[in-house]
Amino acid sequence: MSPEAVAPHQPEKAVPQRTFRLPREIGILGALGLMLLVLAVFVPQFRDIQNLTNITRNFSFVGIVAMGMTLVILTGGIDLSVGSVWGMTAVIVAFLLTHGWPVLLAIFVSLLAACGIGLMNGLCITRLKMSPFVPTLATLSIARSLALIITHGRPISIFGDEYQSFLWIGGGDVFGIPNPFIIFCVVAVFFWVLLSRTVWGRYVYAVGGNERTARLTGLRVDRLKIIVYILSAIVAGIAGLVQYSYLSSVTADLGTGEELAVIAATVIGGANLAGGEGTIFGTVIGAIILEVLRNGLLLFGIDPYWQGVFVGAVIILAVSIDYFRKLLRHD
Amino acid sequence: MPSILKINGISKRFPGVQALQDVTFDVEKESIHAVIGENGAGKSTLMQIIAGVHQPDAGSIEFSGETVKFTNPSEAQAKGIAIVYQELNLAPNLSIAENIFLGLEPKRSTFFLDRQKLTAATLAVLGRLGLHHDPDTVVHRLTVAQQQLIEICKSLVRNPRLLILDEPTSSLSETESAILFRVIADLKAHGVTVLYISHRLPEVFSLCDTITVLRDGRHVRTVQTKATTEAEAVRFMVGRELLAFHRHPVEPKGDVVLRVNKLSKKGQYEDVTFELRRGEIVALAGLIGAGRSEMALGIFGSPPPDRGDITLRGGRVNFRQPKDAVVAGIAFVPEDRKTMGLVLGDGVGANISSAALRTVARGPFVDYPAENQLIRKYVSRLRVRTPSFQQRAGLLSGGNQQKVLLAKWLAVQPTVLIVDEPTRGVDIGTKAEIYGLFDELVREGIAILIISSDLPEVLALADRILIMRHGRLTGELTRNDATEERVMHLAAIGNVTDVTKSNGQD
Repeated sequence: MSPEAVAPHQPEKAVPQRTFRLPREIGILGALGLMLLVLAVFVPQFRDIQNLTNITRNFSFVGIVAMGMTLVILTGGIDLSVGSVWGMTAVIVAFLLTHGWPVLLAIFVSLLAACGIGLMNGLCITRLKMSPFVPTLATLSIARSLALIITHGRPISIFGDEYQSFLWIGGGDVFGIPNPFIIFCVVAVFFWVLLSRTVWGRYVYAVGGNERTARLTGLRVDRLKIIVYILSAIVAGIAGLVQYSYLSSVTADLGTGEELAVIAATVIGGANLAGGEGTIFGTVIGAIILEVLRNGLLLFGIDPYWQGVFVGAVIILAVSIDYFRKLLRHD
Repeated sequence: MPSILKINGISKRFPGVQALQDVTFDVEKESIHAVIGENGAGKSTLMQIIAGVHQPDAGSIEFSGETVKFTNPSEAQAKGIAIVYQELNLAPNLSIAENIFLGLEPKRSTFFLDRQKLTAATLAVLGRLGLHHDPDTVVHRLTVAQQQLIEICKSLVRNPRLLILDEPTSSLSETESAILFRVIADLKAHGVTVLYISHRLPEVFSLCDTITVLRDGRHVRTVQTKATTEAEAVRFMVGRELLAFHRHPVEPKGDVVLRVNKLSKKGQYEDVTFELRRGEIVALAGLIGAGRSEMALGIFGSPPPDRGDITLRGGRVNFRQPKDAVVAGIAFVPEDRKTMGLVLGDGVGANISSAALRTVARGPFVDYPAENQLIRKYVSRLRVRTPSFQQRAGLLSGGNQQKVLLAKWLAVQPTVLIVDEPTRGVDIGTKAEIYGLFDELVREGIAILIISSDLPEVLALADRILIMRHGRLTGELTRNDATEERVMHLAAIGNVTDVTKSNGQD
C-alpha cells in the first residue's frame, strides 16, 4: 500500500484513484461513528463533559505509544517492550524527582534511559539479525525488572508545591482540555508529518514494503530501523511520564500489559503486521475505538470481565473489514 | 488425436483489466502445445484458470470429456492437472526429497515417514531429469535454476495427465534447458499432454506440436507448428511486423568512467578487471552462476568485494553499502524486479521517485509538485502504461514493471548504469523500446554495463562483450568480432590461454 502521501497534489491523474483509496480508513471511521452515535443516543452519561474528558485522557496514553508502534509495524517489526519501558521511565523519573533532581533534567535522563532500550532493540534486530519479537521480548523483561530494582516493589509518590510543575504536565488542563490529550495531539501531528510529509517517512513505507528493494535502492535500512525502535521507546517513555504525572504515584507495574492494547489499537487502525501498510490516522481511530468501547461497556453496565471478549472481537472484526475490502478490489 | 482439453469462451476480468475475453481452443491429447503472447496477453491467467487458481467469469473448460469447474488448485490436481509456475514455490527450509513429496510422503504403518522409500523415490525422479543431487540437500542451498528443475520433479511425481509449464526456461542455462526438453519429449511419449508457455520462440518451434497465440486477452490463432514460421508467430503476437533494432554506436568513446581492478570475492568472483567508457555499452555474458550478478553487486557495495579496487571518474571509491554507490552516481537495476527492484504494493509513482526522492525534497520534506513532475517526466520518457501514478506496481504487466524499474534508476541521473537482465520476462515490443532507450542514453553520455543471458540481446546492444566463466573473465570481444558461437565458446569452455593463466593463480 502506498502511503497516502502520494495522493494529494495530483491534479489530473489522482481523481479516480482517490475515490478508490478513500475506503482505507472509512470502515473503522464508520464503526467509530456508529459507536459514538449509539452511545450518545442511548446513554446520557456518555455525553457528559466529565466522561468525555475522561475518555480523551484515557486513550491518550495508549494513543501516544501507538504512534511509535505504527512506525515499528510499518517496517514489518513489533515492539513488545513498550509496556515495560512505559513503567521503567515513570519509575526512573519518580526516583530522580524524589532525590531532588530538577524536573527537566529528570525527564531528560529518564527518556534517555528509554532511548537506551530502543537502541538495544534496534541494534539486536539490525546488527545481530534477530527477529524483532526476540529482543523486544527480552527488553520487556529487562525494563520491568529495572523498574522493580529501583522501587524495591514500593510505590513512589510525590506531593506538594515543589512538584507542582511536574504534576501539571499530566494533571493540568488548558481551557478545560486535559494535558495528556494535548500531548497526544502534538505527538500524533509530529508522527503524521514525519510519515506522510517527509522523505524519511516514505522510506519507512519502502522498507516495510520490500526491505531488499529498499536496501538496493540505497536506503540506509539498518539506521532507519534503529531510529524507529528508539522513537517507539521514547513515546512509551513519554506515556509513562505523563501518566505518572497524572497519577502522582507510581509502582513498578505501571504499564504492564499495555503493549497489547497499543498493538491492538495499531492493528484495528489498519496496520498490517507484515509491514508497509498503515497510517497514523488509522491508528488514532484505532486507539479511540478501544477506549470508547471500554467506556461504553462500563456505562451499559456490562461486567468488566467481559471487556477482553469485546476487545478481541473488535480486533478480528476490524482486520476482517480490511480483508473483505481487499477481496473486493482484487478478485 | 482427440482433444484432452477444450477451452470454451473463457473470459476473466480483474479490476481495471479484461485479462481474458472469450478464449476458445482445443488441446490435443499427448501433444506439446505452446501458448505464446506478449506480457499481459493473458497466458498466465488462462493457465491459472485451467489449474483452478482463478475461476472464469464466463465460459467452460472440458477436461478429458467432462466439464470441470475447479474452485481450487487441489481439485485440478486430483484430476491430473499439474502446473509449474514461473515463480518458485518450494519450501526453502525443507530438503529436496521433502519438497518433491510434500503431501505424498511414503508412510510406514500410517503415521511414520518411510525415509528409505522417500530417498529411493526421490533419486528415481531426479535421475529422470539427469540430476545428481543428494535428496537430503536443503533446497535453499540450490541455485534458482536447480530449484526450477526440482519444481518440475515435484509435479512429475504427481503423475499428471496435463502438465502446465509457465516459462520454465526463464532461469535455466542452455544445458539445463536441453535436459528439460528431453524430459518433456519423454513425458509426451508416456502419454502426458504438456501446455508450454514461453517467450522464446526458437524453443517453442523446436519443441511444440501446436502453437496458440494470445493477444490482449483474446485468442488470435491456434496452428500446427509445421504450418507456420517464427516471423508469422511474432506478427500474430504483436499484430505488426517488428522492425529489427539497430544500434548507433557512439564514436569515438569518451573517457574511462569506471575502472574495476582485480575485484575478488571468495567463492564468487576472482580478479575481475575491466573498464567502462562514457558513451559505451559493455555486456557481461556468461552462463547462469558464472558470478556476473555477484560481481556487479560487488561494485554496488552489496555486499562489497573482499579485494580489488574500483575507480570512478578517476577517483578511488570504496562503497560499503548501496547508498554510497548511488550517491556517487552508479545505478543498479537488479534482475529480479519483484523481490529486488520494486515495492510491488506501492504505487507506480512512489516506486519511480523512491531512489531520487532526496533530489525532489525541500529539507526533510517531500516536495510534491516537484516529485510529480519527476514522475511524469519518466513515465512519459519510458512510456509506462499505467492508469494512474497510484496504481500498485504489482498490478502492471511485466514489461511495464520493467519500465518503472528503469525509470526509478534513470531518475537519479546516473553516470554509470548497471542493468542485470534488462529484458527478462518482457514482451518483444517493450524489448525494442528498452534497446532504443539504452541507445539514446549512451549518446547522452551515460556508460552502461549490461548483464544478460540473452545472446541476441548481447550482440545487438554491446560495443564490447566481456565473458565470465566460473567467476573469472575469460575473454573480451568487440562488437565486430562477436558471434553467438564465439561468446558461447568463451562462456562454456573458456579461452584456453586465459584458463591456464588463471589456474596458475589458484
